[in-house]
Amino acid sequence: MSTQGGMEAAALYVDKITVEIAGRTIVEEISLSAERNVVGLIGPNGSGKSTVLRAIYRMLRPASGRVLAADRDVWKSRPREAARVTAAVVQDGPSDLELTVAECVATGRIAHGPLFGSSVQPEDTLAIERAMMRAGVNDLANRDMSSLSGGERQRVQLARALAQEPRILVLDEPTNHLDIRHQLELMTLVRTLGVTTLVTLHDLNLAAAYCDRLVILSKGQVVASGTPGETLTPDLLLKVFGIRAQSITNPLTGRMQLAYGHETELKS
Amino acid sequence: MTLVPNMAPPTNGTVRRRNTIVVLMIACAVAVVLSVSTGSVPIAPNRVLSVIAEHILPWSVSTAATDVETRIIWEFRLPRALLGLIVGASLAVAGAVLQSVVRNPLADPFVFGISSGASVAAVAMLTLGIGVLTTVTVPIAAFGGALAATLTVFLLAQRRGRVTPGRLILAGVAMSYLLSSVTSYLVLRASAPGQGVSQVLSWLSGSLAAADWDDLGIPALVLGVATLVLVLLSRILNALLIGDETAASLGVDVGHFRLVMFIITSLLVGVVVAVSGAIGFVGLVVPHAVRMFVGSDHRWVLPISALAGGLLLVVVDIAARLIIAPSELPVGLLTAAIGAPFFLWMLKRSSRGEA
Ligand SMILES: Nc1ncnc2c1ncn2[C@@H]1O[C@H](COP(=O)(O)OP(=O)(O)OP(=O)(O)O)[C@@H](O)[C@H]1O
Ligand SMILES: [Mg+2]
Repeated sequence: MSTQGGMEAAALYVDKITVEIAGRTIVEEISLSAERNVVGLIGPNGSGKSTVLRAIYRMLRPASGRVLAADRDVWKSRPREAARVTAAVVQDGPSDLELTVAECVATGRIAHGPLFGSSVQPEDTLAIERAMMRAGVNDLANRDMSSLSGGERQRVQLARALAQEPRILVLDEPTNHLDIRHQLELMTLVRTLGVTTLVTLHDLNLAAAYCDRLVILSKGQVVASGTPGETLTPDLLLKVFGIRAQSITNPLTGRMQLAYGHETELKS
Repeated sequence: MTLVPNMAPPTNGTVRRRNTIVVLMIACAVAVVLSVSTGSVPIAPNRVLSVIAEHILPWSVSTAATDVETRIIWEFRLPRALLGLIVGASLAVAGAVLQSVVRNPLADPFVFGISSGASVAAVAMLTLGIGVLTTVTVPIAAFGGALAATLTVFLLAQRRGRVTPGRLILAGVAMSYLLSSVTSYLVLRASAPGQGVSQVLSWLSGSLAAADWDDLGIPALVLGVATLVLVLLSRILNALLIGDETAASLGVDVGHFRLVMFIITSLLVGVVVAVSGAIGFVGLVVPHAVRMFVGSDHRWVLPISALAGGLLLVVVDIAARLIIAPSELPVGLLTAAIGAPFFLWMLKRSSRGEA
């Protein structure tokens, strides 16, 4: 398998996890797996996508079920061990205290090397430089994070995650804030990394074009999973998203794509 | 290795930050000498230097100073100036850590209720006659009080296992008020018999006047060890600036790490409050100014804040002795006079930016 940049894919299994917040069940008995491929997690707002990801990158401990990354139970490993396998690009709120781009990307190396270590090792420098180059943010190295556009910031977060040299990558709406070209570039980049990837996306066409498999969530439960062609059916899209859709072939790429519209504006 | 020619290894920044450290160290040394020569009996800086040299150099140096001057310098003024350095440094480091741990530039040991917690414990020991008063027991009590206040604030601000900066600040301010009133009560209660009241009063406003050599050991040790540990953990402090979610994904046990940081800041603040009382706003102003100058990377922010905080407090303490000479102001009064408007200015700015 691809080992670009010292990264090697590992399998991710989410095994019947249930996550509760303040006694309320947010997601229930979710199972999914990803191995050396790009899996999209899609569903309407509030369906529990981010919650599932949080259980994977050790932000929210599931009430039951297991998360296995590279065959190890994430919640039974030490946090640093888990972070050497899995990296995440997530939605954090804005901060008044800002690092420079290079400093931000450098935090990707925390799980590598000693816990008490403020000095930067040569392998850290190499990983940081490579990650910044891949995410296309090397020109921004000395800029303050607060001075960046939303899309630039998103790419820096991707660079930070790549600096972690993960074997599994978890991305929560990574295309948020990106213009169309950068959306396509980011998804292409994700595909060429050769790292197992679980990504939440709102753009169904992006999901159809770049994911090997899709897992569809609705109200905290998996309602479908399979290839884009198997899952993105007009019936399911109507049921889950409340939209009328039809799959068509993109004349430029030859790939499957959805044409959809709101009920009120349909022709027939 | 030139994989990325544009990455411009931070040599520029590093050189500037190193220079900043050297300049600050020199400034601290100069400020200490000036501080020692300032007072009701002015003593020329060259005599100050010769007395210090006489005490610390292994071979004997002949001194130009008289015996009285030597005593004033060595027994009173030098410990006071050095205590200023230690207290200022400890408060600035504690402030810098608190700010990143709660991701809010308004956090400060004083604003947060930590100083008040330490004061209550120290004042209770003094006025209620609990335990034996020594240079070890009072700092331990103050640390206990500081930690109790910090954890209470932390628990109050926590909801569903998560802490928001806004709630943390609110809880901290409420805690400060509550504890200040307890402190006032303890002082008023004790003021009839008069025992220990003048000491307590100097504590309340924050003062370095009572410094002697015995007071320096524990705060210096705590400052040195804590700063070293914090610098070694600076990458994790940096990660917290990005956010809890990202920090968790980077392998940081955020809740646990935050608790450890609260313990370290309580220790830093507790031991200096035990000696000098609650000196406010140094922990707010200094890290902020330092970040504007050298950025937010804690590897640099922490040591530079320590030096700048020490420098600031020594300089303000000189001013406190000059403004109404021959009497002197409590140094905490002056830091509050400088810091409170600064705090309000920052508050205004931060609420204008994003809520
Ligand atoms: N900290 C929390 N406290 C209470 N409820 C929460 C919390 N976090 C999430 N929820 C609830 O859990 C549900 C799922 O949220 P989640 O963020 O996982 O949805 P999502 O699928 O990522 O949505 P979106 O597409 O809007 O990002 C929502 O109903 C949300 O209100
Ligand atoms: Mg979400």
